[in-house]
Amino acid sequence: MQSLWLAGAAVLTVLLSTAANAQTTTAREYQLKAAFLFNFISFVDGERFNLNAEEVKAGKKPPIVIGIVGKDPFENAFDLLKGKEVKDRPVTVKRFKSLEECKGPDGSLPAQHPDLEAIKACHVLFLCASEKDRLKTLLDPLRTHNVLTVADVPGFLEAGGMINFIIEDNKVRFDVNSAATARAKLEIRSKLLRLARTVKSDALEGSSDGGRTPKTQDK
Amino acid sequence: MPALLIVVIWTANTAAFTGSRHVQSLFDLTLEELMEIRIGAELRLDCWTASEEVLAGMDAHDLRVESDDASRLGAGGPHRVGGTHAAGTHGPLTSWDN
Repeated sequence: MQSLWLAGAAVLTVLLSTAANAQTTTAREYQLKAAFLFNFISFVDGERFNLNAEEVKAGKKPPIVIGIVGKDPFENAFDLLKGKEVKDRPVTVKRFKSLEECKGPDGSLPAQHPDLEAIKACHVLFLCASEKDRLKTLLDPLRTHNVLTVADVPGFLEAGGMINFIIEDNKVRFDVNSAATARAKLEIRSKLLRLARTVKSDALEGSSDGGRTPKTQDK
Repeated sequence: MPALLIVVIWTANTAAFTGSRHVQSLFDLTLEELMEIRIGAELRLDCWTASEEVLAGMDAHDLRVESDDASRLGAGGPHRVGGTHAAGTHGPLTSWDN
């Protein structure tokens, strides 16, 4: 009987340890992705990304806003961002509810996110995996808006997203949909495009290849 | 003579990159550096202080890591940045958990 208890305790320990390791790996993955999001800002130019002459003259530094929609996997990954600047501007992070959490009393999903105006005010928008079934609803109102959309879900670029993270060989990589960035009047600097795994100028939007991008590059 | 920090990113027991600037967190790394980091591996950003004179006499290749202390990072683990170790101190600057 005692040996049975010991065996049970050993199994439980292994299970708990495995779960803890998975959690740590996820936390590390999103710490890295947070740093990528911050870094991307330097390589994007657009009307809202750069200070205008009036702001420069007045010494104004409105913050660059990173928005996160959905079940946030970043936890405290952005804590060390405090006090940092990019493009001579401070950076803030805003979190938005998942569309699922915005269901009406009858259980129906809203046609658009109730915080759409605040979302449009973001410069970078990360759509969490919790939103993978509602990408179109979230992305369509932003198609021509000056917001860099980023995610790590299959099919994101095909749904009109701009940058999608992929894990390859345990390292963070990313694909770029340059058709989507052009539509939103965002200029992605060549260095970022060079570092991308693939750059699609024809976004294959509407295709359902599970987010797997072709090896042919047209950057 | 002001000191600079030589930064070495250790990931998977390999020194991935070196540079000479101050680093406090992952937010200070370049995209290229971030792309070298393995998610599951231990990550440490180590720093060495070195005088500008030492740095001025080195080119990028001199900043490669020499393997002289396998015990520090496990078998085959490299230890120091060529030539600069004696010039100052070193120690972990930050880690994943910071």
